[in-house]
Amino acid sequence: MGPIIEQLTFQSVWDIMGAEVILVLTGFALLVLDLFLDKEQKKLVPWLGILSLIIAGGLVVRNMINIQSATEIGQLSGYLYVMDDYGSIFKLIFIVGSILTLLISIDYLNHVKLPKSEYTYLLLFATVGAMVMASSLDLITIFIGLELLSIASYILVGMRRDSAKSAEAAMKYLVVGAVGTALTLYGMSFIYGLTGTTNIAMAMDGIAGVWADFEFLVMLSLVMMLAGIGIKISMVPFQMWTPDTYEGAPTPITAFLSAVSKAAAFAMLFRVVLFLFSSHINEWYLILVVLAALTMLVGNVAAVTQKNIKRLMAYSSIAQAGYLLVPIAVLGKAQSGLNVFQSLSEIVFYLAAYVLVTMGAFAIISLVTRDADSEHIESFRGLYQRSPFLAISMSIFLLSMAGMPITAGFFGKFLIILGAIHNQSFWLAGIMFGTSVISFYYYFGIMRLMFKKETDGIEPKLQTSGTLSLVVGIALIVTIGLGVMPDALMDVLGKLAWFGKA
Amino acid sequence: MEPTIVRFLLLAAVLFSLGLFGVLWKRNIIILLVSIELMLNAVNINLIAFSRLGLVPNINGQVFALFAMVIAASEVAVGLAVLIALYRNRNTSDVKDMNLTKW
Repeated sequence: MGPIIEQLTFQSVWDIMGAEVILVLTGFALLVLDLFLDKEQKKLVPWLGILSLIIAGGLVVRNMINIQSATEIGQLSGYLYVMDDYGSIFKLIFIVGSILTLLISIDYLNHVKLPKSEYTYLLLFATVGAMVMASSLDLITIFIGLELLSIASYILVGMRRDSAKSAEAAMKYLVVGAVGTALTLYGMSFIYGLTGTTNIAMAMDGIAGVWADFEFLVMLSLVMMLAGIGIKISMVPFQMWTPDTYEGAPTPITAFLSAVSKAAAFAMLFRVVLFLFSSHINEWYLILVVLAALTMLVGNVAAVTQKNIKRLMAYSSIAQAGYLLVPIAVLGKAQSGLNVFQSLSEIVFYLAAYVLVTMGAFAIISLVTRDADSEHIESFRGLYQRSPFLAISMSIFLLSMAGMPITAGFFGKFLIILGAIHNQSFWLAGIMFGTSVISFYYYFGIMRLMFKKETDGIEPKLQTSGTLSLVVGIALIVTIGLGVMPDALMDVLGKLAWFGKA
Repeated sequence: MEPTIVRFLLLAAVLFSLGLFGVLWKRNIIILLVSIELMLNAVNINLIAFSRLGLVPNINGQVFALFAMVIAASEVAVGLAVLIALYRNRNTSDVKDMNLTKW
């Protein structure tokens, strides 16, 4: 039987999930407030969302500083919901991603007619879902978090009700996502059946005990859960929805999906799949190795042929998911527990760099595609003449995605390849290196267009808005900052007590 | 394990496969949503069976099944809402016509 929850008080809920509470309350407040606000006042609603996210971020940092011992964390929440550094660092990534998404959205909502309040609180709920996924230690709770994120994203994708493309994108996302949910749930049901518990920590021991007798069921459950989560992180062969959904969704939501939603699925992948099945990882890690290699190959090769900038970014994000799978896949060969933390640091570093770069790039894409009223990559032609700042920033973001030095993306990739070589996964490191070279082709294609001279006279200057410049500025500072001194973040990651102090 | 649980698991597996088959092969979106519902309900059968006849029978499985039902309902609710938005724009609920965004 599960551990007994001593006493559930408001104080203990606040201590453990203060950040989530703030966001949920703000969301509900906006839901009601929407009825009383006039048109001008509604413009402030996204700012309220940002404010609540900043407060939530502060609460997460507070939790990280006051981290208790592992047992103390568990006792507070009956091991349903833990506030270890692993969850907290992912939560910070989600919060930063959501703040930047809202900043891009403020500009977007000024030009596209969408219900501002609904948009804001759905985004807040989606962020809460992501945070629950990162922090819960129970299959039921983690499933609720996953669905909170997914259902809110389905609605956000289909928010442009006048656009057939948006509705189609939402439909595709919903059908594929719901199948993913069903697969994950089917896998979880076997975990419960074999161990009699939904708690991940206890199920982990249980699975190790029944592995020999029920290997078929355990492997079935593993494959089902991998497929379900694979759909969320757009892992090949479950990637087909990604470009379609990214193309049809409102641009800030595309950024949210490719950054926050993907990071949340990775948090879940690590917590659920790797933990539950860690006892016999040597027997199944080859599945992950093959999938990671396929994801990198398909994502990068398919991106080469794309002419729509959002579809191109979608395939690029598939490729990035492949890179992120590498540190998880190489764990099969690792022997000591130290390697797990090494892989975690690599993933978190890469995700931090990736989220910031994605947000910056999509801020520029949002502006440029609106200005040209076309999502074809030709709309980037001659951007340097229209706005040198945006062209140079976009180039830096693209270089970071491609993994060129002096950017955060370089060290992200460098650390992952180094980790793979360290664990003797030379093939995987080689494929990662090779596919990165392919990716240069399409990233440089955009850059070439941006710096090409316009043939037909002088184009009018591109007007940026304050919030977009802010997003680009933040992304730029972090991208170059992490590129010049990656140790700043690596030191912090090295000091983290990932799963609570022993 | 008692022999009877195998029957429940087989029933759930058949239902789940039928649902997956429906999602992959059917052309009408309503049928797609029904098939998804079928898959989620197959999971519920699994959970309830395990809760009674599993290796370690306890109440957790039934609680899980309740949560799964709520989630399934809300997912289909959103699905129907999106379908209505889609139908207003395109006047079709056929999967074959979902070709605005492709390769």
